[in-house]
Amino acid sequence: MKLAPEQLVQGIRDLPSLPAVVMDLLSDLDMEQADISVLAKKVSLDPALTAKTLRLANSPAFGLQVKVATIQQAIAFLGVQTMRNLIAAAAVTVCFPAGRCPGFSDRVFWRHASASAACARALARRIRFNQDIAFTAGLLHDIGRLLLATTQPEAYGAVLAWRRAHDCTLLEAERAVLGIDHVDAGVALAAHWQFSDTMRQAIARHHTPDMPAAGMLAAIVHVADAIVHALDLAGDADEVVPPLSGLAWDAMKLNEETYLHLFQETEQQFEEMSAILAA
Amino acid sequence: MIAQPTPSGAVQEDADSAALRARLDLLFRKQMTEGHDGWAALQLRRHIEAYRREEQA
Repeated sequence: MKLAPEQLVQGIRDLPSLPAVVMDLLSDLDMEQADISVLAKKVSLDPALTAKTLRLANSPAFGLQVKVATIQQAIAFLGVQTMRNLIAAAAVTVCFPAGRCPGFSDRVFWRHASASAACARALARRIRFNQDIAFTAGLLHDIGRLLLATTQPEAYGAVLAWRRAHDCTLLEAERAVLGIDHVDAGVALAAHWQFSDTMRQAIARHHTPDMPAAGMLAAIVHVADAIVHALDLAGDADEVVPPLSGLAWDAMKLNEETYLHLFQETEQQFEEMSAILAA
Repeated sequence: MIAQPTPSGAVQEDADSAALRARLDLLFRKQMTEGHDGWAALQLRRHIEAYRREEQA
């Protein structure tokens, strides 16, 4: 049941397109400024995107004291950079129709993605890295899994069955059954959607942060991913912590007390966010 | 062997600790793979165990 590259590309083409404003946001995540009024106006034209973005902005993870009701208000309270990432996150999640693949739980997927986003953001704050970019990278690092489950549901169902039968990691099962893995799929999707180079690199290297030029974002996502698996938050009966890079772990330079606060913060923030994203 | 009487709280604590260790054993079962000595994962496991014990206390 090997998956040919052209099947992967066709699957990507069959996905609903991202709104143009979101494509712009994703390709420019690293840039410092944007035209606030143009951004708010463009997003406000899409009611579903606006509603989901505002629900995310009002979730406890962002700690707003007042509820925001418009994109302009949310930008005023949270800043352009945070809102760009929230809009992109909300938009990406609506592109994948749920429930196609046997054995694949969208709920479990979004719980893991949301917890990884919260954890990556918390890690980034502690090591003085850009929190917003870390949040989006945490959220999207496994987007290749969602792509495969959505566009190749039968084949991906076979991957999940193979994984259960052999008690191996997901990467091993994907390579054995499909000949490619969710990292390859994620990289292909990131290229198609013109994600920024930083984001593409984080998706490409989140299991291999020791590779040359993998970058700090990949290390953050790698550690956040392992932490979230270890906290056992997704509700996956086959949960397993993937191999953890000592180099990436060391790069965080955090002590036990800091980690305990980080675990608590992740647990407190992810639940509501995952409910919003999976809706 | 005849079990010594223990306060019920201590028995519960032992059961909780055993359940936590068993779950962590399961979660961390893939750490000693080729190319990984697993030391970072061991540190992560220690922190998670401390965090869960703090929650249980």
